[in-house]
Amino acid sequence: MVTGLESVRYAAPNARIRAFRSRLLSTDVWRTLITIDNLAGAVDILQQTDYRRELGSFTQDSSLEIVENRLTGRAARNVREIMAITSGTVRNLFMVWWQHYELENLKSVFRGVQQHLSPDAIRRLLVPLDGHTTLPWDSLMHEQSISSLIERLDGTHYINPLRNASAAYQRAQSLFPLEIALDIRYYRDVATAVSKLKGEDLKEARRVLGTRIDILNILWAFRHRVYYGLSAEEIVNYTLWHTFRTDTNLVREIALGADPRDIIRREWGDAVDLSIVSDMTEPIQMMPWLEIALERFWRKLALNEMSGYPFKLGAMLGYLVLSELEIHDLVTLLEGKGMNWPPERIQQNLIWVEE
Amino acid sequence: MPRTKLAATRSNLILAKQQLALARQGYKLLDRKREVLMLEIMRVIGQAEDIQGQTNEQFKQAYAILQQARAAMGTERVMRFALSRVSDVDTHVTPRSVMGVPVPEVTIYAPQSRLPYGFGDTSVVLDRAQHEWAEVVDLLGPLANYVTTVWRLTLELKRTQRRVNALRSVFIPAYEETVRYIEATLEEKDREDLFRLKRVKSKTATIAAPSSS
Repeated sequence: MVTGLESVRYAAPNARIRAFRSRLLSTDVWRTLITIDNLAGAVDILQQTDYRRELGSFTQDSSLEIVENRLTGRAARNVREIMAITSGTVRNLFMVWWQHYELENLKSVFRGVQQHLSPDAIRRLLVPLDGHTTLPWDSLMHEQSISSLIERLDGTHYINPLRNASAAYQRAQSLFPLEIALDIRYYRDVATAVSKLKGEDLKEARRVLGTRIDILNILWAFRHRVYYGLSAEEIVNYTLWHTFRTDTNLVREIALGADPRDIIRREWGDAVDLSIVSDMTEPIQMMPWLEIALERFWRKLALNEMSGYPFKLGAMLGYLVLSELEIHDLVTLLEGKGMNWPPERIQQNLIWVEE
Repeated sequence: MPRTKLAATRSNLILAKQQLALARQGYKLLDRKREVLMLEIMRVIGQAEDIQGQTNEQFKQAYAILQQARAAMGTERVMRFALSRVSDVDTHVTPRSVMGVPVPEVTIYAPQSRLPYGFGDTSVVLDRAQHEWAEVVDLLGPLANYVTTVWRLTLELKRTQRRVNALRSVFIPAYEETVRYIEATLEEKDREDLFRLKRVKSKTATIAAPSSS
């Protein structure tokens, strides 16, 4: 039940969200982008939209990587913009969401240090965060080893998972234990930030972010099994133990060979459109398409949150999900055009589907 | 056919005959080696073609999936994640012998743990790309074995064929010609000697006849 107080609390943010929403690309623009012949044409269209800043002076010979990096930076900026119009536990939730980009940069620093890249080379890998970060990036990039890099993070909230995983890193000499520890910590932080909300906010956040965490946990469990052949115990260790819809029993069931489609149907019924994978029998081939099906489902949830009563947290979350997925789709579109993919193939790989 | 430059003597005839016998024996052996090499190449080439076909297909598939990963995550992020490779691939080359031809036995040790990155900000398709490229690496060892074996055996076959041809078309005919020439020369010499002896004998008989009368 929505109270009058919540309406007042979300009145001002709602006006901003409506303004932000107008930046999202329309169905007509998407249709034209998908069907246009080449990359240059797609770039021309995008330069007439709100993405002109990210595209800069892009030409046929320019590198798409720079544009992609800027687009990821824009996704981070979108979260900061929403943060700026919220307060309290809601703001904290968006802060945690934004830390995803900081975490992505931190992982890039770890990889750069492991590969002995120069600080300048590492800097080029980072997503632009417009200075909204408290980590000492320069000192981090100058570290010579992973263990000294971990110690340099002492005093930040990253240190505990890193210290716990550092023995596993030493054994395997792979960044995987460190990265998965950071990922697990991050998604636990998101779940904690969601659980601190109350009333309708909690329900909406659970619907949008809770579902996201469920999707990721199920996908992680399948990825561990299908592509890396991990044992049930290892898979339980490398996934989230309890999310909104998943627990260790479900993860164990996945690890022991459950069909991905059965698990998804059981969790979400017919809400997830699995027609894209209906003809596939091998999980190795099926998984990438299953991911797209689940992302489309998440997008549908976000669209639902944005429709109806507007003065709510769900509208903000919905906008952020849509903008993040739109950026994902733009990368797919630009890459697809760059590789001369036909429109059908591009459409197949997009999260965006015409309603 | 030019013959060898040997003086027409009996000892050279013996030497030429020995050389001819040796050349014929060598020819037989090399011809047999050529046939066995040919059979071995035909056997290995079939396997090499199979593995080459498999590798081409796997490369095609791996490239297609890599393209899909680039589309799903962007080239920039794929490159960032490519930095978290577990370790380099170890390659060991041990020599072995096929028909006396040294060929390498290439073994590729891919990293045991193939979990390179966290899953929080990566797409499933990147895992699939990694999986497909690992399959490519697994095929490269056998492909290197077969291709190098075919290549080395073919070189050896070419060399053997050249030797067989040289023996058949140059050495054996030359020694046969030499033997024929020396034999003919020696026969001619023998006939001359016989004729000379007969002349001497008849002359001696003519000189002896008046003195006795």
